[in-house]
Amino acid sequence: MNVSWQVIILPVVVFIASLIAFYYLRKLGFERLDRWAKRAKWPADKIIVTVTRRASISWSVIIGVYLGLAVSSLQPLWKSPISRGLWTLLLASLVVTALQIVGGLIIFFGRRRRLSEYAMRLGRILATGIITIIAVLIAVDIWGMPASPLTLAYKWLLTNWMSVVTPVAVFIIVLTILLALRALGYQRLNRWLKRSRWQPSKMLVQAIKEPSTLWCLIFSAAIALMVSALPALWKTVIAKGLLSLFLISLALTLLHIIDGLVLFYGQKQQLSEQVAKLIRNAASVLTFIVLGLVLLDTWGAPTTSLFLLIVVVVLAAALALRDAVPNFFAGFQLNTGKEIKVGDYIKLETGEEGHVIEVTWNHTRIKALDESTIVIPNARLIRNTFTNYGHQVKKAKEPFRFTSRVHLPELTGLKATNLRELTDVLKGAPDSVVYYHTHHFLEQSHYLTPEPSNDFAVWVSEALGDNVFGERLASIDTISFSTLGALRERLVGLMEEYLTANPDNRRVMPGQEFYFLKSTSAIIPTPYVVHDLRQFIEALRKISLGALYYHIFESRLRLGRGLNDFSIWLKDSLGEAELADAIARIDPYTYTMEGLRTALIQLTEKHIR
Amino acid sequence: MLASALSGKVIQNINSTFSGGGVAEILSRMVPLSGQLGVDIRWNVIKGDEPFFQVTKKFHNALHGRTETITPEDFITFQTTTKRNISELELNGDIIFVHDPQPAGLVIKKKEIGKKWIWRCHIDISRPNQEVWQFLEPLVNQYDAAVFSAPSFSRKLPIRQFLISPSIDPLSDKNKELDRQTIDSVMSKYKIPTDKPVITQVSRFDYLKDPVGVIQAFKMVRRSIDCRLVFAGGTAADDPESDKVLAEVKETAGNDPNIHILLIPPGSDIEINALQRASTIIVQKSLGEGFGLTVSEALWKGKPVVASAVGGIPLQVKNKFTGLLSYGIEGTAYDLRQLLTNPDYARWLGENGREHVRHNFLITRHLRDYLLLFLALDHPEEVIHL
Repeated sequence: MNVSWQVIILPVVVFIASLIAFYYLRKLGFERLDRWAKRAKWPADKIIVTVTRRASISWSVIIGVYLGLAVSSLQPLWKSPISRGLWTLLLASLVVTALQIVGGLIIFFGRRRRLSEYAMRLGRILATGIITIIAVLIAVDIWGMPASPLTLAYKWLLTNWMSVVTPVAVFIIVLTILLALRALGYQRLNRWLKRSRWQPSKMLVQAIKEPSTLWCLIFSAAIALMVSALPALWKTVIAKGLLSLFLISLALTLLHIIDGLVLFYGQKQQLSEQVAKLIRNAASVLTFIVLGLVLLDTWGAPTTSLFLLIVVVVLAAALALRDAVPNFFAGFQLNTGKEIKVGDYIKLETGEEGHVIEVTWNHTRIKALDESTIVIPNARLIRNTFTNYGHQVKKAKEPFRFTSRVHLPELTGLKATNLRELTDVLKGAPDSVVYYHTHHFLEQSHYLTPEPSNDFAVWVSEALGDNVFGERLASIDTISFSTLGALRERLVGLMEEYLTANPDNRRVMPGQEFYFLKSTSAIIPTPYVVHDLRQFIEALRKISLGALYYHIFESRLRLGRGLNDFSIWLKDSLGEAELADAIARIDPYTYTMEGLRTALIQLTEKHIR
Repeated sequence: MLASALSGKVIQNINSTFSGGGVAEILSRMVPLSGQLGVDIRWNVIKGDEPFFQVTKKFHNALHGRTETITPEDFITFQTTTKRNISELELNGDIIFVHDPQPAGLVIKKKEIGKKWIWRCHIDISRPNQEVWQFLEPLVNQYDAAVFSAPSFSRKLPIRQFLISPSIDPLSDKNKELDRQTIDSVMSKYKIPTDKPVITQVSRFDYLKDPVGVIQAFKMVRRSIDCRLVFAGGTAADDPESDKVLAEVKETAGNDPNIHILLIPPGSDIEINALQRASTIIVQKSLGEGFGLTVSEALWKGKPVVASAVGGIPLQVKNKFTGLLSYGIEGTAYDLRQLLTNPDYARWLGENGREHVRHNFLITRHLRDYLLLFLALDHPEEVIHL
């Protein structure tokens, strides 16, 4: 019975008593803690209280069991491992608790400080690592393991803690300062962001924000390394490693920034996806090449030969692609310059014309009017002059065939020496005489300056010396007459009116008589046949003044069509009533012939646009 | 298109000389040019002796309105030579294009051979000697059409009369661009210094060109402006008067070192060209002109021109726009002074003049008119559709 009491009951009583005692102590302690938590303004205490509340139960049990074991009469052979096991359990529980607390605090303060997930995860990993290492070292010590690298390390640590603590402290201090400076810097940056109108600024700041934490760590580690007692070789290797890490991070950050800028400015400049991708790829390739060379140089690898190799490869590629390279750069220019785009109608000075169906890096494909596909190397397209008409215009029901005319003045043998004779002859003269004397100046001298509208006005002013009446005759608005008969009536009417009021009827000097002429015209077809407004414009640039004259003047009055040929075609065959009316409204008698050509072209071009 | 419409037709030009004068000059260019267009165009000259050309010269002056003593023998000489030419000359053209009065009588052959006949009058017959005109008129009326250089040359004729101005060939030796070296060498050859403004008249030694009047006008200008006069002339094979005129001109000029009388041999086109280009002002103070090709030549070179308002000159010189027109010696002198003292205005006139010639008096326009003329013979209507 005494043996049972010492072996079983005493340890159990001690266990139960310790449990009861720890229960009440725990209860009292957590009541105090709860009251403190309520008063305290530090919100993180809830994390600590919650975690330790759960863990403290296991601690109570473990300690209770340990005390019971201590008073038991178990053999030391049994006591020792059991107690070590209990310490290990306690250690494990403490580690778990510590990890939970540290993890919780990192998350809490990380979110509060708006640290990235990456940073918080890094912190938790670091904390886990440190705590685990310490726990393992303590566990090894508890179990009295034979000398292992860890034990040796642990023992070395105990004897050389200053050479560890110093760099760690420096690391922590520098990191803290850098993180504080970083936080301050970002506060300032955020204020600047609010004021800044440069849109990519936010992207830029965000791009730097994430890796800056890593840079702070790298820099802090570098400083700590400098003050550490590590051997020089180790220091060099670790420094190079840190530099490499920094360079890689810097390169990735740079690419991230380039991506953002290309995206922003690409949208702004309406760059095609192809061009943006090309720029990004080019930047990536270049960055990685430079990074590679710098890293190799950092680690002491020979870079000169590699650099030369790269140059040789680039030159060889340029030589092999010497025909494609100009096309490539021309394609880039076409894409960025937006000179042409798919759907546009273009015409080269060498004659090829059609709709653009594709613009690649090497060539541009156009579809001609006869449905054939023409492939034009981009370099050639850039080198030559081409006209971009934009999108296709509609086709006419009937084409317009440009016609020209040449004329030969014919003497009628009739002449006048005074205004009465002029009037009498004019009354009976054929329409062709009226036409000649009101239109021949257009072709003979209209290139220099618009001249008076008819020979009668000139003769009255210069030969008869009557500038006032000459001006009246010159002011006749020829365009307002749709027939030559009507024009003649107006002229004769004015003359009769004048003669009634001024019966002077003086004669001109010999040699200044008015000779009545008419003209014989030959109407000649031209090779210009047009089907739409673009072709119409091109033909207008090329046709002779004779053709222009024919379609504007001769057809309207002399051939009695009442309207110029262009307006008739535009309205009837092309349905372009607005442009037809605009051209009909032009008073061609007030232009030089070239000026008239320009006016017609400009009107039509404006209409197409 | 015009040339192809004349395919198969032979056009035969007939005048009095292959060289000297404006007609020969035009035909020497026009014939090969027409040939290049595929038109079968030929050129023949009539034969004549000294008496015949004396008579035709008198007819020329008389038709221009100058007083000439015309005798019945003159008409007989003309008819005799004409008949001889009719018998000797092969008239094989579908269209026979007769130039000026000398060959005008050939139309007598029309009754026999038919064909289309055109009389090309290069001279001003607005105030003709009635005796001579009455002799020529029946001949002219037999033609299918007549061509005059200016409206004022027309008469009331029962035949169609067309207006075709003569022209210059811008690529010929007389009109093409010359380099400075060539110009200077010609001036040097004729010992004409360029230290002063140079006034030049280029024309035959003919009374109708009024060379004496030019010298008189020049002397009036020299009273106030220091300048030089160059009178560059030549003779024509069918003009027996030219030597006499040259002598009178030299006498009028006297020993004035600022007056240069140059006898330019036929064919010296480069030299004529250089003289015109070296000049400050070109004068054409004619008393009578057919057309006055030298005016267009001067205008084509961008030179300011002072010319008489006679013949076809007003067609080329639009007064105060493409040049200045004068009516007498005093007027000519006044215009010369005006241009010499206002070089910018002179330059403006010259530029306008060149443009005016480019549009109206180049050989291309002339050829086109001739081709249309040939077509019009078979198309009496006013509008011909090709």
